[in-house]
Amino acid sequence: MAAGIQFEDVSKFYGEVLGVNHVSLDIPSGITSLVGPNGAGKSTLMNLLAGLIQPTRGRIQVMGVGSDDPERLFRVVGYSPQYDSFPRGMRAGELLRAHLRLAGETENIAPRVTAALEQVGLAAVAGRKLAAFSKGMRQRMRLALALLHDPQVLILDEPLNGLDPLARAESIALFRAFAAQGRYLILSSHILHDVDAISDQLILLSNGCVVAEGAIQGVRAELPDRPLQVRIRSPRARELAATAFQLPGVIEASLDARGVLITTRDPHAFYLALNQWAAAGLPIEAVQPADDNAQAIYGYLVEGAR
Amino acid sequence: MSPVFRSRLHQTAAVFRLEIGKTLFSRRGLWIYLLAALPVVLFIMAGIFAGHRASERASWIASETAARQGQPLTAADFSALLTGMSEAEVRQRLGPPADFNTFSFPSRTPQGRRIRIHGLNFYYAVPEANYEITLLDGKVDAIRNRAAPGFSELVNVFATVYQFFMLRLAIFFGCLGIFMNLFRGELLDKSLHFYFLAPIRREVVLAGKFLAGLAAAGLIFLTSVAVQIVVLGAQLPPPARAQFLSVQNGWHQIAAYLAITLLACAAYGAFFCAAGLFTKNPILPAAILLVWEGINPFLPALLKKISIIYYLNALLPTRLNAAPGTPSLLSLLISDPDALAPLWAILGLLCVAAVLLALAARRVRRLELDYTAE
Repeated sequence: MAAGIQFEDVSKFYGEVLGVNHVSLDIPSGITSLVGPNGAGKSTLMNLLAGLIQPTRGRIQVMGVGSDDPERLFRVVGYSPQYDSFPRGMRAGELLRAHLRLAGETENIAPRVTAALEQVGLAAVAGRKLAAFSKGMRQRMRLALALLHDPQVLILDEPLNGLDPLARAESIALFRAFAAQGRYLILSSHILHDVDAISDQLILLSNGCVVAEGAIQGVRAELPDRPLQVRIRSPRARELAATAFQLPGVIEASLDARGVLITTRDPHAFYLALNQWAAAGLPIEAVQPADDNAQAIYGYLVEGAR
Repeated sequence: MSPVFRSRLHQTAAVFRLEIGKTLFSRRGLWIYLLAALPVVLFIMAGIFAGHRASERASWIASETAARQGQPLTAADFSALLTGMSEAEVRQRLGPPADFNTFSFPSRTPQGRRIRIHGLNFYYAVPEANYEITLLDGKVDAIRNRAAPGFSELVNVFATVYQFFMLRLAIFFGCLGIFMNLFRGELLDKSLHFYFLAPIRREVVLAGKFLAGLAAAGLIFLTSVAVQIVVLGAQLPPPARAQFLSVQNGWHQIAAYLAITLLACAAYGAFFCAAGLFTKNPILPAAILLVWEGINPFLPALLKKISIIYYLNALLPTRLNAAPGTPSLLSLLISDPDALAPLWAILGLLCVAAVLLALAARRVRRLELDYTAE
């Protein structure tokens, strides 16, 4: 089985309306987050990957399987879409059993269903009707469906929506454990803090196009025209701010409760000077980049481009 | 059996199991049961009415026979009656009537004088019929008989109801309700992705859903047809029923009606299953097919074959004949001058269903799931 997930020059149009345009991606294992504003093409990209829609142009391969072959595709892919509905009148356990039978499975159905429900914390409500589930429970039920057949690739559309803090933490731990096994987890989220916390890679979409992709720090490094923000914690913060502001390239130095936030157009010169100040005895407790996170990258590439 | 084939059989069975319950117990489909039950209710009411008449006839015969010192009336006694006979002559030949009523109405003489005419209706019965003799001003004016329904009359009643209500309306609209919703209903409920996100070929989903729809439609309409036949059969006296079944090829006719019902469900089901995948509004394809099937008898020979009703009509075991004087266009609807051999009709129906299902399979394979467009 060929590894990885490849989009080869994929475009999708809904009539005249653009879904995604000229997307070429090679998604590695680990957790990859799709980030972008509403209408950027995140769900379209996921639906394309799961074969729910077909590309107008280009080709998609998931572990060597075309997205137009559901029988083979969903042996390796589990997809939790944003659609918040289940077949009417079913109970949680019943739905999972039906899903396994649809897959042609005839053996070990009950233990697999129990395991999937335990994985998402719904084992106690296996006999309850899905119509009585809360939004968070339905979200976890979708995750259980996606995980049921132990897929290599997990695609999750806004998987943390509607979850309470505990369920959220449990889900994130589950995602990390899944990715740690060398599998592929692709998720979309509007909550950039979550993206920062769990993602290995980022795919930033805007207006149907991939604006940036790769590890978060790597993406930030590819934006040299954007001033770098560095937060420094020091007991002599005021003196540090004044000194730094004298440096060429530094355009802002501000003080807050967490220290000094310095914005510079010349990171190289700044870090050189910082070393010299430290050698000269200026006490520095911590130096931390302040804008190599998803929030900042999103701001630079998406909001800044508007 | 290859493992792949066995797996697909399991998958088809899984889809079938999920769908059959939904289809049979859907609240949306309640009207289909009512549609199927309607002729049963009508036949039961007709049976109750016929039973009442039969017991009335029996009591009349008993009273007439008693009045004639044990000599029962026969149809020949009534054939011997002539218009213009007096009331006394009638009473002399037939004895006192089992029942009677009087009436009067205004009229004019040839000279224009206003008069009032007084009339009497005498009621008699023989085992085969009821007789009504109308006397105006003491003279026999008319003799009418109303035959007790025999099997040929009941067979015609059933054939008419089957051809014009069951086939053209009940099964047609029932299949519309069942099969159109197989995919369309789940698109509206936004739950079709449950199937589309499972490792199963979409054609297998289609097969499972179609078989579930066919089983549901078959169960509903076969039950309806069978109960109609039982209800009508119960109205026949046992000897007539036995004669119909053994001598008149009754079992063959019953089997034919049941087979036609199942074939009609398959063919209309295939059409509406495909229509549900190609169109969003069920009214349009249903209206087009209804009109097309309606005008089928008037179409050229080649176009007739591109329909479902043409093949179904060819299989009907009872040919209805238009009554004398029926307008020619209407008589075309009643009788089919180009009847097809049953084997060809069955093959034709299966071909129509297969073509429609092939189109549906092609469509479902390419179907893009976009609930926002629904």
